[in-house]
Amino acid sequence: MENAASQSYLNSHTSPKWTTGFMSWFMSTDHKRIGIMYAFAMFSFFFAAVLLGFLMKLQKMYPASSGWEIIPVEMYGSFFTLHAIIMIFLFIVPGAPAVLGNFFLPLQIGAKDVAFPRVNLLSFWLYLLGAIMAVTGVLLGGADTGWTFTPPYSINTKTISIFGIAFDSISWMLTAAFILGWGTILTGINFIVTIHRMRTKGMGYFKMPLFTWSIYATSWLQVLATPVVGITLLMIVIERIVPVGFFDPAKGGDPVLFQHLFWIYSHPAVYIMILPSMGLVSEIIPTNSQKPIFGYKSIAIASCSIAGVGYLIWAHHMFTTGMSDFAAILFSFLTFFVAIPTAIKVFNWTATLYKGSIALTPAMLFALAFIFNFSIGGLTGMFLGSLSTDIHLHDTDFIVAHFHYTMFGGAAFGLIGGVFHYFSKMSGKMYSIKWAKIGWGFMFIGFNSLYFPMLLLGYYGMPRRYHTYPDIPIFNQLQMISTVGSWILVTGVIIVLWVWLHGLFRGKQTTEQNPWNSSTLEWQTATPPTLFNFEEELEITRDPYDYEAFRGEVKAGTSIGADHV
Amino acid sequence: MNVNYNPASVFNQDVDFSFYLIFMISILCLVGITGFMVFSIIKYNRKNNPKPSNLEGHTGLEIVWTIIPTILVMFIFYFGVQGFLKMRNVPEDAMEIKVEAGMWWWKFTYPNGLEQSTAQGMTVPADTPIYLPLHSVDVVHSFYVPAFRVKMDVVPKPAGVKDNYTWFEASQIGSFDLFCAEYCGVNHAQMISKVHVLTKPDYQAWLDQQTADHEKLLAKNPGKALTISKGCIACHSTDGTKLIGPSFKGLFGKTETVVTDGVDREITVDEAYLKRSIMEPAKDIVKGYQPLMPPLPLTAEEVAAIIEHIKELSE
Ligand code: HEC
Ligand code: HEM
Ligand SMILES: [Cu+2]
Ligand SMILES: [Cu+2]
Repeated sequence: MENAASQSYLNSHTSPKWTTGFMSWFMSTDHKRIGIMYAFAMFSFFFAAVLLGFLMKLQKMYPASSGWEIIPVEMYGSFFTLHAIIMIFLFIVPGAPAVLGNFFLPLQIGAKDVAFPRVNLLSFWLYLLGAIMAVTGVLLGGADTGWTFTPPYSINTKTISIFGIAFDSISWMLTAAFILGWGTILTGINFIVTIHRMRTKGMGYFKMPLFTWSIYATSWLQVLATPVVGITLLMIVIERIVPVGFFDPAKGGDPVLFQHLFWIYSHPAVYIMILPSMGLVSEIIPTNSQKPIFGYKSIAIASCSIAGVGYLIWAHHMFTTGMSDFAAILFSFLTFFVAIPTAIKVFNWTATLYKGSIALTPAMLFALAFIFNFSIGGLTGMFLGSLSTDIHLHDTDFIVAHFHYTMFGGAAFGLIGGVFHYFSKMSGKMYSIKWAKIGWGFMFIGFNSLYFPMLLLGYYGMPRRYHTYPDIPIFNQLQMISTVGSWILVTGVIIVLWVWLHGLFRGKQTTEQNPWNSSTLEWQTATPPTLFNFEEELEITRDPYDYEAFRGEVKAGTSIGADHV
Repeated sequence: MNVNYNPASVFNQDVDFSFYLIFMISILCLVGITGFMVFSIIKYNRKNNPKPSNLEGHTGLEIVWTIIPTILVMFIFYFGVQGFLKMRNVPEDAMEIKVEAGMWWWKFTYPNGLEQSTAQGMTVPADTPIYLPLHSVDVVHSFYVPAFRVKMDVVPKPAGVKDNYTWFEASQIGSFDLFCAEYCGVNHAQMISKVHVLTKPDYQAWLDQQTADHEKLLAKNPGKALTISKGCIACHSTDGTKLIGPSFKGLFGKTETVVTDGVDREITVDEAYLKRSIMEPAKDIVKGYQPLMPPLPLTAEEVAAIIEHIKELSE
């Protein structure tokens, strides 16, 4: 292969010589191949966890008195634990950075690869190892602590023996989360260095596309926050094995201390989940409106201030733990300051539509659904940041709906939109646009009919993590609507995943470089990109979303645009 | 239906005011944003508007939509704090009912020493502030009465550290659901009880009656009285049904398998075994059950009385 560098990355690779087929992917340090591998792994886990969610909703279709039981009561705890462990640690935390960040971050800044390609592959392996441990941990041992591992329950619940061999499912899972954390930290460092050192000529910080900005803010959070939770989870493992008392009050420990340490990571983690999707939406909307994003700088700065303030508000998850009233008031106050940059972003995206030339592509539909769902997610967050209302709503279905609105209706919808946006660039194939839109319709309607009733359920007092519920008419009705919503949603998810697989294996071959006519750099590569991304050294002279200049370049033949727009 | 809008406690008004304030603001924002999106999608559709503008931003507008939300959230913050401080400051003259939680039961101790548990629920007089110290014997639970807008985690504390507390003042007669709101193991969803609110005179009459009944039973059948007041019946039935623990019916003299230090062994239930089971519940675990029985503070006479009662149930 003399001319490997100018061939598509799908046909040529830099992996060791002996590798072919599967191994040439598994051993590949190419950021594009790594991104694709993450996509396959993550969406498979996602689908498995969706099925668990579907069963949990089915379980709640009828109240306790009906005798309806889909999931035995001893297993319900393991169901929501496995569901959440997969969704959080294996799907949405690696999320958009792992799939699209890996693939497009170097492309967006004109680099050949990330700064440390081999470390990047190591991150992926750590991810797989941690994922397999976490899933087997729950499946074999039935850990049921939830993804929050609240002690002393998580310290005192017994290990389970399978075939006579003692298996400490909880320690096993905590170790898995620790390993996953390492993968995340390494990816974060890798991206930060890439952004600092590998931007092409002329690509100043304020010439970077907003997806890159969001990955940048996210990476800092990953590097600074993940070590805290890593150590904290290890402390629980230690406490389970040797008799020291960090968190178990029976041994003089403090269970609330654990919650502080846990949320010091896990609150920033919710921004790790959402920021990259905000970045994707900031790409999709200008492209499909054919005009500059409204307030580029304030969106970039808002990303960073969300990351900054997001680090200081962890204890708003703990207003009912009995921490001091002063702390509660302080954390409530700070919490409202994260609402402001978030609101600014939403207003900026919406304003971008004004006087645009809007095309409702599948990616655009998901981005618009993102804005709608995420607005509900953000607004319901105010009910939880305000002290007196949080006391009532905490640990009810209101919270469950709130975080699904942000993490699923927001982050995951954004990620799915991003995959539709970049699908042909990554694969050289085009999916069925019609079916993608049908899938979107099911997902959007199903999502809202599943989770809106849960907001109301929470207001009426339905606690979370309940296997059944007392026979109260308002509970019965809302649970029923919500369950039916889950059927529509799951149908939508299946359609979307099917559209992707069908596109990949049966879709129309395409080499069109810039199908949506986007002004950012990643679209100026071949479809699919060549091994080292760009054939020649680039120099950036204009703002990333200057569509007027972009149209001029297309006319002059210096940039590639779509001919059909 | 127990969840209702009528102010069932003195907190409802504050909490619900905050709730509706945020709700109205949210609806306005959501309708505004969604309305604008729909309008733009139609008006500036590629067919209708093939030539986009190159508008890059508008500093004035951005300042406006930074300042207005800042002011709004400060209002929300203020009202939230107000309602919260009320929940944290217990009136001087509050009556104290001790709440104890364990996997998976509640126990309520009244000022006169009367003890009741999950099945009976908590009974309180209306229009009287009730102070509730919250003690957990095992893991974290959470005391939640949705109708009163009251919630506080019941956190186990190291020796010498003060327990969490909460308080409420019911303003409506009726029975209201009491939930455990923090996941505490398999039967978390069964850790449900009731709060019964009576008028002050009714409450006094109820308390006198219950105390007298309990004393009568204590004199006549002390074992039975203790199994009720100490909460044994939350986990042990007297009619053969299997609850969290084995039934007391037919227990004495029965042959069963227990697990001691991980080893199965056959035993016949006699007085020595019962005594050990009650005083050191973690020693022998009946096969097929989880080691969930808490060690309860009982004197030797009380244990003896309970054993008599178990014998009686096995005749
Ligand atoms: C939280 C639930 C719970 C409470 C409250 C409780 N127990 Fe138990 N008890 C259990 C469980 C579970 C077992 C079976 C496992 C074991 O042997 O520890 C058990 C076992 C027993 C046994 C042995 C039964 C047998 O079949 O060998 C006796 C006797 C007993 N309990 C008495 C009491 C008495 C007396 C009280 C009240 C002072 C009480 N329990 C309160 C849960 C409870
Ligand atoms: C069709 C899709 C989904 C369905 C039907 C679903 C359903 C559910 C249900 C029923 C619960 C348990 C509620 C309870 O008993 O308290 C739950 C919990 C949870 N879900 Fe989902 N969910 C879905 C997708 C997602 C996604 C995409 C994410 C994250 C990105 C997610 C994250 C979580 C988390 C973190 C919990 C909390 C579990 C806990 O309490 O420990 N879910 N979900
Ligand atoms: Cu509980
Ligand atoms: Cu509970």
